[in-house]
Amino acid sequence: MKNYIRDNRSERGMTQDDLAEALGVSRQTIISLEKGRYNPSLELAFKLAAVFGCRIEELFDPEEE
Amino acid sequence: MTVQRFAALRTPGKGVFKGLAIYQTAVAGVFVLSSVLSGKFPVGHELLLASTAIMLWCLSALHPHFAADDERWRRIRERGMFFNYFILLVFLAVLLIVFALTPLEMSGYQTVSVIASFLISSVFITFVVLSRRM
Repeated sequence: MKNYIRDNRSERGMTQDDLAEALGVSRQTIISLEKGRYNPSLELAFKLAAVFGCRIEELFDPEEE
Repeated sequence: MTVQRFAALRTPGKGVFKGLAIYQTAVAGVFVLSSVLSGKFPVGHELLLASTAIMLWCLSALHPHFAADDERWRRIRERGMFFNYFILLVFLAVLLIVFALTPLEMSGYQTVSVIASFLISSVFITFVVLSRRM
């Protein structure tokens, strides 16, 4: 599933470490998410949306690979 | 301080695992060399020592992944154990065929040591492979 986590993070001037800290996950998890190698759980997806202040649909695109 | 950060603080650093891995590799090397040179390989315990060394090297490589104990690491562990079930089945099938068709003879202690060593090594190597792919 394609996601826009890297774009959102860059727009807000956050580092991968900052985002990992905010979500309570490892930096490796953020790297995997951004590369699209790992699809997060619903709980983590909601946390991501809350950190970026947007809707889940704006972060993930199930149509695109 | 969040629960995850507290858990990360309690986890030994990567250097600790690397130091233990170097020590264990040296110890396992001595034991394997002595059993090979005395013509008694595999006695059993040297395989367990070698597999523990492999485990420690894998843990040092996996440290950044498991220190946070997040959902991705839990998924890696689940999938690793799932794959290892099949890997162990294949290994046991091969071992059965080898015992049935070749004149190889091993004591119960040796056989259990071989299986335990294989299991310890394969579980942690699978974790490393999955952590690179996931």
